[in-house]
Amino acid sequence: LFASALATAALVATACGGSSGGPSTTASCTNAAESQGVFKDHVLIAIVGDYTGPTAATQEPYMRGIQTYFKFANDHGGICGKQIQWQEGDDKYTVPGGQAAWKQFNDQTPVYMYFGNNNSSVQDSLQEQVRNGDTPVMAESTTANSLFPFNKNFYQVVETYELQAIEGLAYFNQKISTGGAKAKAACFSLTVASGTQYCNNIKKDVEADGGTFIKHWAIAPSAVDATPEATQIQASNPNVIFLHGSPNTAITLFKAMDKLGMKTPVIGIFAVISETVYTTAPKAVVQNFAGIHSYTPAYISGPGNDEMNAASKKYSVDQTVAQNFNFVNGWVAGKVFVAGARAGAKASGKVDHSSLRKGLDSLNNFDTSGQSANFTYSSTDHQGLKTARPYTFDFSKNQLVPIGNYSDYAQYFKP
Amino acid sequence: VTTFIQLVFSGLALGSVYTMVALGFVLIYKATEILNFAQGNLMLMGAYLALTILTQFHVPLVVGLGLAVFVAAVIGSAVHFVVMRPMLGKPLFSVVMVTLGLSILIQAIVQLLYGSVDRVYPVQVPNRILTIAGARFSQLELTIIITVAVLVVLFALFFRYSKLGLLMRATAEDQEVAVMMGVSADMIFSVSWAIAAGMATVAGVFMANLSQVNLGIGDIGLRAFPAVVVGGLESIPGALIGGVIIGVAESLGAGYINGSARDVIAFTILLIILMIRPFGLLGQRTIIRV
Repeated sequence: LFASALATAALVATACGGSSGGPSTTASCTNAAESQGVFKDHVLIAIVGDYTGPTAATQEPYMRGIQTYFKFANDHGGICGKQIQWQEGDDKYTVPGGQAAWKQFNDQTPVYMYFGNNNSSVQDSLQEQVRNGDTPVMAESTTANSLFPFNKNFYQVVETYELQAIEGLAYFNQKISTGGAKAKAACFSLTVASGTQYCNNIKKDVEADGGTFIKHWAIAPSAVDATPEATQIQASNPNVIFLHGSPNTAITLFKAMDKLGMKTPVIGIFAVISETVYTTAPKAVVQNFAGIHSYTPAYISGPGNDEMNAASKKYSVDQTVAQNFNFVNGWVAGKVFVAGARAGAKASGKVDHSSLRKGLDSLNNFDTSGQSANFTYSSTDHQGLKTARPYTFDFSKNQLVPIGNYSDYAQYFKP
Repeated sequence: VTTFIQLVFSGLALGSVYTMVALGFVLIYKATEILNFAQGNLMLMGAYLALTILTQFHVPLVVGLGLAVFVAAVIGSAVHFVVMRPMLGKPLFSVVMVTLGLSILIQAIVQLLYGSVDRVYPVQVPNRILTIAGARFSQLELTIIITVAVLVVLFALFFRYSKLGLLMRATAEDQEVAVMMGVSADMIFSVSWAIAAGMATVAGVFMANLSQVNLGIGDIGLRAFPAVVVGGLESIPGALIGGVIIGVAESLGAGYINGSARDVIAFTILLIILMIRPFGLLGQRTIIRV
């Protein structure tokens, strides 16, 4: 018991002290576990996602953020002396593509950590295999099926859709609703699993709050016109529209809304909010748009972002990518992973899947230096981030503006 | 009634986008009898060419579009000489696979050069909202519809009355006879690819104005495919009719049923047309005597 308590204390101490990419532990782990992507001098990571498909604009910066953090961590000793190497896989936002990549990096080229399954439909289709396998997975967004019941291998790095729905409704009630009017909500999403989940959450929360849920409209990722859906939404006269999808989904809907003269407030998930949505879509519509996001844009200064911005310049990352909202998300995902991996290696003296899980599970209130709320994983909970915050836009500076602090929204998390 | 007008007009605008893509398919097929699956990503290439010109040279949109069309036409012509000419006389299946490979190559090169981040043109097609008969339309949609109508008429006249158009039709009809009559098949094919690439650039720029400049622009290539087949693979007016039928049907289906009805309706129409008129509404029935 005493030894176990000591080990836990060591893990927590390492985790709490490891918010930066370096300095790393001075110890060197010489073990190899090639069937787990661990070699004598390096570990192999898979970074799989939509590099060329309809959500590449969101996912590619996320994946570049992970890679940039890995370069930064390698310059600070890697993971217990092992350099981090990675291979990319392009799932093109398709279920077959995601499944093929998962097979490749589990059966053919096993990896130490799998960053992927960012498409919720891919994630749902693979959740049993992830659950029953041995490879730890981090995904940009997470469906309830992947997290609950507790999945020892799945780690979330963006707030759940459930919480984004709750916080979106709270934002409506606090900042948008006039005269205390309850939400009369429409929900618009992409035709993927998380879209259905998000809109079901909105329905549940709005009805529990005494409001009215009108209907869920869904559109394909490649659709170029949403006028038919916007026409129906307009006829149903909502006082708020909740939006799931990508920046393209948002722009397609907003152009249709503008055409129909709609100025209904819109509240979106993390993946729809970007500067280009505000600058491309009609201002009459987007001035009533806010998005819930778990991260702090790169141009908002803070210790974490300053360190990241310096690194992105040092490693010659295209600054249009490095300044993207989702690059921060990727950088922090890499940071959390490395902190967990180092903590696990320090406690056990070796690098493998088991020590990685233990290290990640020891991260308690892990401070990302202002880039997000603090992360907490445990051996029974992999939700990680338990709060996000809404953002609107400053048209004079062309920058996103946070509404309050992350801690202001922590009250909405119900364990 | 207003909703119906609204949906029909939105369908016309969507159908016009499909028509622009379909025209590219038809132009290549009419001259070379090749179904070019790279047409969608030629649009992608054109959209990024225009982005480069507009951001680097700060020229007006029309000038930028004109320059992009010219550069795309040169690239299209080069595609014929470098990629397609070696495939002359090869089985049709191989040629189609080459166009698929070309499509992937174009997308990969664009991504290599520009990355995946969404971009926006510094100057956009004006997008004021107009109200007609109680329904609201955007200036961008009207611009697309008018542009497509003009292009269809111009291409129809080109193929019917111009010498080059006639030579292109003759080459498509019987390549061997045309060559024996002194027609340079090489020149005809390269011109076809040049025109198709230029046409794709116009479509790509409009697509980028409808949303953003990103790697997804080429995806509409496959969405427009039912329009190409419904109209008839070698018919210019067929591209227009096919595009409009599919666009309006999708819009009405999504408006009166739901969004998922879009693809169901488009591909149901495609299946019905293929069963009744396999050569498309305005395609040519081919009778082979044996």
